[in-house]
Amino acid sequence: MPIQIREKDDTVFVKFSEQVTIQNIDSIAHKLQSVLETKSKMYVVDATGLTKVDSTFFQLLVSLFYSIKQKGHALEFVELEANHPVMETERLLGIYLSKKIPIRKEHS
Amino acid sequence: MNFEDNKELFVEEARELLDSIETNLLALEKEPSRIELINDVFRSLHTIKGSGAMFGYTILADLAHDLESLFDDIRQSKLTITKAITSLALHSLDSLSILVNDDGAELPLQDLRDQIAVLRGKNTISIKEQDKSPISSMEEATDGEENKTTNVYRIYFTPNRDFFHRGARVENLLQELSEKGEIYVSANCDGVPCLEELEPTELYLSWIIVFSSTLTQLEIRSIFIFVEDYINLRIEILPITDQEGRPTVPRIGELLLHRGYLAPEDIDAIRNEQKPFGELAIKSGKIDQEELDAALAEQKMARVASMERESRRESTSIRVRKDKLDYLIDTVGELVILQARLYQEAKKEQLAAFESIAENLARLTANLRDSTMNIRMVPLEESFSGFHRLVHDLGSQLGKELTLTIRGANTEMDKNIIESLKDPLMHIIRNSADHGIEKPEQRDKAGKPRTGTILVEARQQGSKVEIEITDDGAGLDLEKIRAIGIERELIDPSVHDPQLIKNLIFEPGFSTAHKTTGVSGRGVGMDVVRSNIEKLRGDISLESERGQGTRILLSIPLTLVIIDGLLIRVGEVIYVLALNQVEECVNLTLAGEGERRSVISLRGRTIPIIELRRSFKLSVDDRATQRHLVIVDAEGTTVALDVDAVVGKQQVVVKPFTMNLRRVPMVAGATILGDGSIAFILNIRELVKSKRGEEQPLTKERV
Repeated sequence: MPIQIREKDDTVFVKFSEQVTIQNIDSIAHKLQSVLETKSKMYVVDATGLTKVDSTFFQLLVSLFYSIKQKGHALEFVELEANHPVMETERLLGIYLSKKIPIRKEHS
Repeated sequence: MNFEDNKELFVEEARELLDSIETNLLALEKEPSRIELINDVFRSLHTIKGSGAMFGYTILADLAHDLESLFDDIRQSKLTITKAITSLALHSLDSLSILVNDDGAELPLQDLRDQIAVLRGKNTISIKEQDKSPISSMEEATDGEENKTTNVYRIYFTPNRDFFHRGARVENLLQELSEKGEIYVSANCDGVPCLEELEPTELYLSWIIVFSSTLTQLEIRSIFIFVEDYINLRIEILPITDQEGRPTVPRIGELLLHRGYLAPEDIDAIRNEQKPFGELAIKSGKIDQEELDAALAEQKMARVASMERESRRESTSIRVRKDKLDYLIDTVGELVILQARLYQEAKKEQLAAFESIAENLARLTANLRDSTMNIRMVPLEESFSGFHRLVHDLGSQLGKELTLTIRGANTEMDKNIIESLKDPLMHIIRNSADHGIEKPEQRDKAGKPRTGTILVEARQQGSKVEIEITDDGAGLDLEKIRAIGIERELIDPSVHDPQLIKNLIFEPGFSTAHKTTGVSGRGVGMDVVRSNIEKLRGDISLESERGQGTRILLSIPLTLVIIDGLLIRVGEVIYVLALNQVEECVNLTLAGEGERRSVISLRGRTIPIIELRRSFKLSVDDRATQRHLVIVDAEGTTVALDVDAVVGKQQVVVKPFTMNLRRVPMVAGATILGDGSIAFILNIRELVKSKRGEEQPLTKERV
């Protein structure tokens, strides 16, 4: 499964790997909904393991960000290298997540 | 204009074209499919070849011809851009740069030409190819494309919610657009619901795309033809020329309004404050950084397209030799002085008609002065353009992965200042690359991206331009610097102030490098940088955090020729202070005769006083109880200059000094006043430094 969720010290770590595209976005979104049921107030999204994404992935992240923000909780995004596939797709689509979501320097 | 004059113009133009080719080649290395850059390189080489042959630069023309043919193959998709091609083209460019200065220079050109032939799939250059004279081949390269005009479009792209269900992909459309011009995409995420309400396979996003291209509206629509039933598409052309065809660039406020980020009433409210519009709009909370970036990108594209169109217009600009321009500025300077003198005389004589003429002349002179100064203002990009190549070559030389980002390259400054800034900036960038940015494996260990970034950012701040050079390298090792400073007796072992330690890198010959590299480490650098910046009446400051990087800030006046001055009197002599360093003037009443004050308390600040009479070794009248203080600021330190009188404000023309007078530290220059007398312009920084020196001795010797 290209999504792994674990909870540690009041923080939920969401780690994506392989591909997140229109092909599997439904099941990933379903799994992601469970994070909102936790009691943690801090969420960290790690996309370093992803090799391919499309606009559905970004839409999902924006949606997650809105939900977390609405609850008054915080979300951080693990920093990616400029030439990472996620960053390349981000630039192509003009969805600048790094300007919306705080960046976490070290890997989760 | 004779042949020699034209030849000089060719040399100047060829240098500019070579710079532009270099910039494009470096960009192509990263984005090989950018056809507009390939066309640009091709066109520039074509011009160099044709003009070079015309002025007898036959060897240069031959090499340019080979390169042009290589890029023609790429244009026609017979070849694709590879690292080998850009590398060879950059080497050829170095040879072309030498040949522009000396066409007879002995260079291994045959080797380069053979390599180009091999890349073109021609192991030997065919007889037919060799015989083709550069001049005769000038006509062959013109095609319809050269006459196509670049337009800047704003495309509003709103797909239907079921867009994905139709098998359509946004990425493919944007990718296709990006291959056909320059593109800046901004997605609107406002329609995306919370996770609980999200249907992941439906599309909630919409886009505003700014697209600079030679494509027509119809051609753009054809890219969307297969999805046109599932989208809402609106295409607008941005006006980049006015009704008379003159170039025009939309203002940030207009762009934010058009994009729907701001309402007309917001524009008026923000405009009332005197700060950069974008900054204020963010501060007002009406827009965010992302929205501003999108509008700035749109403005940049409009500016580039507008400039491109302008360059195509005939007879709109002429080239003027720099010495002629300098002479014009000197003459206008003389006129400003003479006009000030006339004005004073007119006031003295109190003749109404005379006064009126003097006032009108003053207005006209001010207009002439501003227009003349404006002629010499050029964008910094002229100086910045070579830095990409510098960083590219430093990366290869040092085995480091480096990226250079330049912002604000269109900020304008006096051409003479820009020329003087090039060397200091190169020193700083070299230092960042060599000492600042770590090797990729060290960066890996430190959890940093393998590629180190150097950011050069310029912006205008009032009458100054700030240039900030930031790197995300290792930062300064203060302990090491301190140890070397103590060893070389530059500081006392008791010194622990981080700022004093950081400033040691500006000491002559100071270096922390273990060994001298070809790039830096000889200790000739930062002291030269500082003295060059100070010669420009600028300031340099440095911040550094271990492991995070270093930031160097240069603050330079826009122009050095004419300054707003505050005239003061000390003894019988009038001096000038640069008005932009003056905070305010204060009258101080002492309690009684003989009282001396070394500081003044002003609105909660304790400010040291410098008695200029003492600094200039004049007798001090201890009986005076009324003192005039001018509060000035330099390098972040505020002092009060105790003067005999404040005479008034006046615009002054800075006159250069002879070599002997350049050694007087407290004097920055001289000027001629309205009455014909000479006044010295005081170097406030040196005055402050001398005061600071009295209070904080750094070295044992100075103690």
